[in-house]
Amino acid sequence: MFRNLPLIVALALLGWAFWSSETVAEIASGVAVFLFGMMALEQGLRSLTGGTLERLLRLSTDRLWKGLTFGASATALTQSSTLVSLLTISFLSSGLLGLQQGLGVIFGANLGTTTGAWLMAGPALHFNIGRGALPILTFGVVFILTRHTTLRSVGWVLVGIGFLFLGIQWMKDGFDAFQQAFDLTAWGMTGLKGLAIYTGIGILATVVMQSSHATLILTITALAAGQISYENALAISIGANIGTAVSTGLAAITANIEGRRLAGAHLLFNVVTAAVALTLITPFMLTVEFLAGLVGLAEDNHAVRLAIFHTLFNLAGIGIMVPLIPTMVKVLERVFRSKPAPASKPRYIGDTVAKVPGPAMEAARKELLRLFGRIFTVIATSLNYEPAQLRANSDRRQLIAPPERVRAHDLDALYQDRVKPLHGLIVDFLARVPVEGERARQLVVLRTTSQRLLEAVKDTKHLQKNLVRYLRSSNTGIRGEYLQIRANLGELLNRLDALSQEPGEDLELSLGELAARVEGNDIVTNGHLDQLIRDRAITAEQATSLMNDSAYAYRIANNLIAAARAIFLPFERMDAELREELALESGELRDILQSPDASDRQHGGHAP
Amino acid sequence: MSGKSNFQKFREFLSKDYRDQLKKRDKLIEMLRRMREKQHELEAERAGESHADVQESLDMQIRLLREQRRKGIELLRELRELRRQTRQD
Repeated sequence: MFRNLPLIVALALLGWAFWSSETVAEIASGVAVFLFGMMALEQGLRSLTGGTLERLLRLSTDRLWKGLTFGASATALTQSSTLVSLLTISFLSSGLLGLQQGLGVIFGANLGTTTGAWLMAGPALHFNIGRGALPILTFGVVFILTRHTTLRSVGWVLVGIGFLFLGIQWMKDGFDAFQQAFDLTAWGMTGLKGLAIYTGIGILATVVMQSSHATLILTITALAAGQISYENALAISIGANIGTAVSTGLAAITANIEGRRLAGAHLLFNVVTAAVALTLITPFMLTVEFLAGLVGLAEDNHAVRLAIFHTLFNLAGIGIMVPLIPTMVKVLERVFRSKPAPASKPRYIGDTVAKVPGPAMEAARKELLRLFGRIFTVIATSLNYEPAQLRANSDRRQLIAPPERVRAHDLDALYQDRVKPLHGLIVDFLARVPVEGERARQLVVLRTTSQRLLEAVKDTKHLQKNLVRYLRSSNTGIRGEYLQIRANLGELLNRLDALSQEPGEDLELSLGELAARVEGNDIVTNGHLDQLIRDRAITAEQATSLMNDSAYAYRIANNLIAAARAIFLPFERMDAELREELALESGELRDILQSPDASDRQHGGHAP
Repeated sequence: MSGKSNFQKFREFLSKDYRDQLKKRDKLIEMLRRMREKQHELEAERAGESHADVQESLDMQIRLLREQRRKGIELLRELRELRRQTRQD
């Protein structure tokens, strides 16, 4: 009840204002329609330019100036710093962007938001934009009703622009009518007190409306109607800058570490910039007057002066903060420390990154690589290898040597503790990524991969029963066969682990070789099992066990190779779906192995 | 004159499936090019190799690459056919 008290009070005040004054109702409706327009515009631009912005951001990761330019131009184009911030946090979370470059993008976005003040102070105030709003809205709705995704997105953009125009017009009309009834200039304040109070109003208005654009347009229309003084409007614009950072900070409380670092940097940038603007307000105002004089701006055109001021102090902020970026990165990394993710917690995936398809896919791939690492440990342990040693050792002679002590590990406990929670989170994450077309197919590949990894663990559990039993056996024939199965899997794990660290340019060929080796080592198809039975090296019961366990080992190996094919390389470097389509089937591999010029290809495995 | 009407070009621009197919084709062509280069590289290495074990390993890699390329070329043909059908629809 008490948590909702501010909302109840705000709604009651709004209701009272609507009831008591038509003009206040008009202004408030204008703000509401404007905010709705911003939301529609953001939705449309996200689906229309999402892919393009992602591609551009990928190209902006190597130089700071590129990040700054991207941030400024993308925000100016989309008029949404929220969209650019979200994209940046997603890229940071998935590791596609470093914090330093991310800060460049966010600082650039701050400059980009100042274009909003220009648009509002320029065309929006001088034309009857409300007249254009209705046709734009009509066309927008028609486009939204079409089947084409692109046209639908264009429709949302048009509807957004239409509502923005309508909102601005209502606010203008509201203030014009308000002027005749009340005089808000009587509340105007000068000096330090005025600066402090109106900066506070700017912060509060932006936090409440969740949009610095809405605060600025309200200020500009009030300024144009002569309802507030120029100096107070400047203070509100400074407050709006801090308000945006406060909103981002509040939203980042639930975000991951990258989101919090970025929000911290955003807050720091805006607070420092605001402090500079407030301290040096007189020199800034003189510069604005100088520039206004240069372009011959009319004496009473305070709206454009406000836009110049807004751009100037944000530029000053960039000038001050950009050289401090390396220090900021160090401070932010110290303040917001990334702790090692516990077994049940993901490292790359999260709610924020799930909203942007490209980084979401990359984050899921990296999380699956993490799962692969855990599955490596689980399988290596169940095979009675020390995981760290297996990673470092590729010598077949050592891999085939019997373990000093054969232990049966509790695979169920390992599975429940190390594999299942993370697997569940990945599956849940993949279900929430908004994808279509090519990306939807890539998502299916990732989902199948998570399933394959899980099946590899389940098959290991089945294999372990007889493996432990026969590794302890005194029958050298059957013991030798299980040592071979163990060494084959150990060798494969070692090779896959090395490839996961450095996939190289010829990953497909390396995996093809591994798959051929697995095929050649399959004792059921290469005739080795028949030979063992004929030679009476093993009993019929042992032959059945060996046949089943060889099939488990074969499945484990193939599932791990298929998973490697899907996740060892980023999607951009080579398409996982394509790699899967080009992967050779078991029959094709057998044909290669049985071709006339192919002699014995088993690498220490069983001779056919 | 490409023979493509402006309406056709506009339809293709709007079709995400069509754009995805083009992207996939480009990736496949690039992949096949790299495989061919690797195969030539391995064949040259094989010609100068005297050690039997290494020869055998190189032979296996060459055969794998040939088979993968064959599948890739088949896939490229299928994609071409699919694009032709999409255009006709």
